[in-house]
Amino acid sequence: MNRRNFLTTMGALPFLPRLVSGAEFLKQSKRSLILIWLDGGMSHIDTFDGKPEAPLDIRGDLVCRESSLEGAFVSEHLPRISAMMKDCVLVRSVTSPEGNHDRASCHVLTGRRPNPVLNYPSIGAIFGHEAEDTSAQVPPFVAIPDAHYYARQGFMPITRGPFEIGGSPGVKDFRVNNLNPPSQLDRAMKLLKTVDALDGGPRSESERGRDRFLDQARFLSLDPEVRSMFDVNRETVELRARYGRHFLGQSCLLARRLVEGGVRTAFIRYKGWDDHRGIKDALTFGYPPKLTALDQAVSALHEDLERRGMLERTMVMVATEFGRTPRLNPAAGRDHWSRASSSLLFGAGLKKGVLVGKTDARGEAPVERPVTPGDLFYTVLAALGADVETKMHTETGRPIPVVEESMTPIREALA
Amino acid sequence: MGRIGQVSRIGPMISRVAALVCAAFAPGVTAQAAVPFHFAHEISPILAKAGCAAAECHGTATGQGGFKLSLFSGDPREDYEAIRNELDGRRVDLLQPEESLFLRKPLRKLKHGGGRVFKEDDPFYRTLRDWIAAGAPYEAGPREELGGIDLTIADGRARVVARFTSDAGTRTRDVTELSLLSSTAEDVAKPRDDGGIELAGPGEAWILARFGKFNARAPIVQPFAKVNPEKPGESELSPLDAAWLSRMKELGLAPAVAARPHTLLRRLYFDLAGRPPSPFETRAFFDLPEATRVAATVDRLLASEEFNEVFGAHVARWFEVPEPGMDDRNGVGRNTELRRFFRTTVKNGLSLTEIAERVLTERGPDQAWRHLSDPRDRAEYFGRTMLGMSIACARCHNHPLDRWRREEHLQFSAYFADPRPAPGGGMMAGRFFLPGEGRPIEPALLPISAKRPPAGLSFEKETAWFALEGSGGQFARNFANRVFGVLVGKPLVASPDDHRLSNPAVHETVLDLLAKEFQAEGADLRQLVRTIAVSRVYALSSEPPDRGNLKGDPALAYLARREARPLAPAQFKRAVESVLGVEIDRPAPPESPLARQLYVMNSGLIQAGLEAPGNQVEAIFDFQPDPAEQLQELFRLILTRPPTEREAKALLPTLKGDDARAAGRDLAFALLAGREFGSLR
Repeated sequence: MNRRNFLTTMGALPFLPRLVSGAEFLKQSKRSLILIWLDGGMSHIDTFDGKPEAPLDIRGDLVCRESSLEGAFVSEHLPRISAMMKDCVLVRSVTSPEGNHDRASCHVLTGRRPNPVLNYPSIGAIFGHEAEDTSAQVPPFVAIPDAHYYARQGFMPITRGPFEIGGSPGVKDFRVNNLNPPSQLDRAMKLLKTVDALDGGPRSESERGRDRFLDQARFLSLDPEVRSMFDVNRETVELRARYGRHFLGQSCLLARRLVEGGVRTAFIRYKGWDDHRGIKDALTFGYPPKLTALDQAVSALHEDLERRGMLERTMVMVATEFGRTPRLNPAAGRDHWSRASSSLLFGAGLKKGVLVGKTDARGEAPVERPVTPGDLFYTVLAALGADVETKMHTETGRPIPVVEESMTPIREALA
Repeated sequence: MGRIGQVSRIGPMISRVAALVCAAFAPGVTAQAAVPFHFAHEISPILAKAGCAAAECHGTATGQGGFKLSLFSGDPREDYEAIRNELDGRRVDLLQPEESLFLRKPLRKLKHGGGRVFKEDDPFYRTLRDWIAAGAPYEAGPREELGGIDLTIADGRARVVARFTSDAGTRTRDVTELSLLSSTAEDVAKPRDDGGIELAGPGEAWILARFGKFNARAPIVQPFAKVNPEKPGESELSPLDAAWLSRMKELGLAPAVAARPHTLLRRLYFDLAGRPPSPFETRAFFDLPEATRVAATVDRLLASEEFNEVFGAHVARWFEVPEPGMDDRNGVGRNTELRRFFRTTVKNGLSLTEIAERVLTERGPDQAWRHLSDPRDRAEYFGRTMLGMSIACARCHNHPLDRWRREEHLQFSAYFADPRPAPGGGMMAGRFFLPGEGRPIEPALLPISAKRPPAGLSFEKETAWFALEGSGGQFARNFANRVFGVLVGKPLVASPDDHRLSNPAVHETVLDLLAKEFQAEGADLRQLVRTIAVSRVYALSSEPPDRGNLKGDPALAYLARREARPLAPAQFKRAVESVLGVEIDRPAPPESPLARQLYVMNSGLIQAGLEAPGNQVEAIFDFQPDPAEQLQELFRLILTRPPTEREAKALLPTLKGDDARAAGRDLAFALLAGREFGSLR
């Protein structure tokens, strides 16, 4: 907590209880979520659930050491994350019956296992628009570069889906899809306004929606200051380098800029974690090595958010669909393993330095405090202060609770 | 003492004693000795009605407090076992019925998560107590079957009568108080537990009743206004319009006026040809005599190649043919044959029956449903596409308002198992083994109607027979609904994949009529499209009575007015190309609404069309020197209508400036990106 927000928080606190209820306060504080999705299934044993004592065919070639969070063994390729672990919540006992990419992603991202008749909305769609304000000019839910199928709006209207920026901010001269207007659009846009005004207003809800999104598009793209929210080039060279000049680094930096600008959920889809072969090389070679990129980007994000005093209102979640087989396969890779996986969280609404759950000596299944993806889903919503009491409505008006009765939040992790 | 005889078969010795004691002291029970008793007809409904078996109580998949009932008492046998025999029978105390766990809990004499459900003088409670006192039998007395239920609504009350059949004949009994009653629209009417109906507001509600495994529904209408301001002189109504108008009268809704001819013409072209009319076609339309111009235009469009394409695409979507790229595996495009077939269905004049037959009976890798590997997925595909019914709920649980149960879902799925090699060569019908249990499932058709297929058909032929003849007209009803949906913008049955008792058509009579006509015409798509396209319903105006208040106009819900709907992304791109007369080598706008607006604004899609040599906007400025005429032509080209006076006054100065051509391009951009062009009003 820095001086500035110390003052605002402390200054406001004595009056708050009289003015607004707890839930209201959380809503007003406008918390945000940055969800880093490691698409394909991150190996828990090689990253956050190291088993240095296990035989070689289990622990593999990658070394894990005890991190700044007592009892948590983290890969030596994640040194900076390891150092910040004392500020995080690490859940090592996520367990699910779903071992197929799509089904497992659905389970983690929507908190529910796939349903043949209902396509559930993702955490981003639920929280991103939780305090939906029709006058909001900034899209509440942004996906970098795009959203996983199950990270979308599900049965909710498409207006609650993510805005996909459509490319990697790590690429030179990156520009968000169609954000920059072509030259000499001024007169045409002015005429568009006149033509719409002469038309005399929307005739239906869908036409009104179109007007609203056209306004939003105008707001985002015509004012260079607003547009710069999407532009990582505005950051210093040093900071960009600290995040790492690669997809994940620049995406995390962009996510921070977006959250600063009022975005409620930034979803980063980092593909390529489905390492069935040669997992050591897959994680530690290449440009950039995946673990190095993760280490650099996540630790930089943590540092940056903290320095700006944004950590109290921003939650970061590093999640994946499932873990990988504890025993190396003949190709020295690891296959799908849904009985155990890990998830790292820090920031808004969470305690610091909490280690949740534990897997057995071989990392096969939780032996302490098993957590379902549904529980994790509930925990994130609870930490963000989302209203979990309300119901969502399907197209046919069927009410669906935001969280199911079977889900319980990880209370010991909530601040 | 028929009941006691039964008891001795069911319970141990002690229960017989209990029953005898009870018989001695409870003359109420013994007096009806000859009356048949069945748990499913007497006890189950109480559990459902009192809420014990609701989804939030013991009806959940895991039960509640260790006691699980089937959802809404869908499975009486299972419930009986749970009550009578689980926990070594400790839930019921035959010697001291009042001491039964099963009774003390809902009285809240013991801790009960569901609170107090009964009082001791409740008739439901007394029935349960007497039942336990009589030995808690599953059935007693002469055997009889529940044959069905009838729901009638009269004098503000719902009445449910059950028909029981036995060797002694049929008897009926009022089971209103034992039936689960609900409403499709509680803001219109809401049934009370005793059958009384509380009226809440105007509109139509369907009252749904459930007793045993039977469901029934009946409508109740509360008109919006007393008088129906229908003008006289409407003698020549088509059957469709007559059915719709009589519904308007019933509901007390004043239908919207007819859309302006330009609007109607634009609608017809988009719906039947997938693009707006050209100025030439617009002129041709207005040159025709007013009385026949709509019908003549519809006929011309029905015969066009564009209609084949537009409806070919609709049909492919209805049959869930994967779009190119969606179903590629390992870089190999699949289903190409299938797509080729579907591209030409409408062109080749195939009726929907013929298409369905081809899909269901032709063997080969390209059957629309073959790419689904699980027979249950295939059965659900069949349900959705052929019948417009979601049977997927029954995969996991018996749905209270579904006509079928889990077992029936599995049995129907067995029809879609892959064929296997027969001994001695050739192929024979496949078998479907119950997942998890390994026992083979005997195939059976869904119990939709009483008709049985002719003997000797193959599995494929039998499913085709089922869709087309055995489903009691559901096939026709499904497609009539879909065609109505694409033309009017709103299907009569909302969510067209999900026809069910609790999802009635907004105008049942209208859907009935269309379905019957469709069936009578041999499932001819063109005929059905024509019937709808020339109707008054189709031609209704979309102009809201109050532009400031778009929500909650009942006229929209009941199709008394048309709702303006946005052009789909691909439709929008096609429309821009068609207006400009050029092809634009860029993708269609994205689906996401913000991304779509950014795309239209900034991608240069429209600009690229306006800069293409020889485009129609360019042509206006090549051949028309007068700014006023230029404006007229721009409007006619892009919006199918001339500018209003206000528009002309406001926009003409733009074209009178220095570079009229560049100004014209900007104006064309504004019109193409504008609210009106992107919407189908």
